Amino acid sequence: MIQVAAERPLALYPGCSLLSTGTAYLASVHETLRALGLQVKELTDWNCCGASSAHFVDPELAVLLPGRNLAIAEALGADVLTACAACHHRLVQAEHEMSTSEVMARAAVEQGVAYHGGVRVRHLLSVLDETDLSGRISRPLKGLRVACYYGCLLVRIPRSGGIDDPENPGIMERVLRACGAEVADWQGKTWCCGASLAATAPELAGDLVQRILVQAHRAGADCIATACPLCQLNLDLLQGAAAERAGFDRLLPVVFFTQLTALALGAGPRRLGFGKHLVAVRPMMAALAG
Amino acid sequence: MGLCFGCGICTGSCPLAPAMDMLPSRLMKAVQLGLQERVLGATAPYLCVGCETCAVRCPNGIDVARVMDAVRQAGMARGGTVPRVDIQRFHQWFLRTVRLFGRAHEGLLSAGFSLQQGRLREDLPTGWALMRHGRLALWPHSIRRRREVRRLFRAVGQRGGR
Repeated sequence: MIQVAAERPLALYPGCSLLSTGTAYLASVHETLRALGLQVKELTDWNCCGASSAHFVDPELAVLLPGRNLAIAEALGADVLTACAACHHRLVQAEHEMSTSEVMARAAVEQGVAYHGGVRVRHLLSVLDETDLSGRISRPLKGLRVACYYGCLLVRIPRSGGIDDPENPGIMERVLRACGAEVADWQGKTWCCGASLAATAPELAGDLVQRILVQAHRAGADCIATACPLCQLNLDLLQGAAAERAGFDRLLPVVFFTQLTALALGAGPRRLGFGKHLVAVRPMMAALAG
Repeated sequence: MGLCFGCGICTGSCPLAPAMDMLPSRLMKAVQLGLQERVLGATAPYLCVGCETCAVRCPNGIDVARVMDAVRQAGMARGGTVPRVDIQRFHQWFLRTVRLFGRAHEGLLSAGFSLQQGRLREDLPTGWALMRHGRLALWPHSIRRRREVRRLFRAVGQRGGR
């Protein structure tokens, strides 16, 4: 029997960060889905994808951890919907490895991960890009100039490919333009934020964050939009010190792209977790209102 | 690996290259030459965050970030002190929380790592700022079938860290 991909239900894989540092991401993902009338249930009893720590220590663990989630999705007959860039990367990599390496597939089954292939891992940006948003935008993001920031893991997935071109992606720009925003053409969109080095080598991560912010300022952005909880955290948390070093005259709010889509689709700002940002989003809201 | 002809695009693309003691392209050459001690003693694979810029740009399709993974894993498997034990500890704390709850717990990870590194005092302001903005979940989000996740850790044994 041929399964039609579009008919498979989507199961949301939030990922661990969306339950703590990135709760604003999760809230706005739900608000966006709800505004579009998309019924998406959470993947049952999902576990951590291992993020960058599993492949730091072991190649097999890096496949088995995300693999368990794929096996759960397969049993449900569902495809996986991701929001976090790192989770997306790890799930796509694991799917690829278990589908192409017999050794890995066998190792997984031996450990109780019954995955046989066929589950598609889809990022919310891709889903929104394929959704016709015209006619659904009740609050166009007029006057807001957004620097779309992809970071690394969403677009750079060796062998299986990311959600868009690794050097000059444009999918987030398309989605936010459809929401009425103006998008900045800028250099820093796929530069690395330093990831977990923010905890282990803060001076290095601080430099990387500063480089990105310099570009966003140069492009005249009102805010930076991300699709990764760690990118958001680093750009938000390390921005104050970076601004002091670089002498920026203002701070740039760093939002999740879903906070913007949800706003444009009519969701109330109070439900989108804007209060959780370290860099205040008030100036951005003012740009929107003006 | 044998395909690397030393063009240096990995080094030119690497956001952490300026901080590395051995540039990615040099490390590739050292691996080709079998300079085991120099390779395993380098901090570069610990600073690599796996951004994959090298991997998508290599003209010969070599996943340099994967090579960094393999070198680091070989170094850790050898036992003894690794070149950046602090970074190793961070990832071990991360995985420890995953083994415990089935999901990562950022609060325990940061607190545990910070304590072990003896820099709780320096890290407290950050923790406090995150807490004040409601961004640190104190309570872990446990999954129901934790046993299944622990089995995956058991399968890779010591390599999964303790």
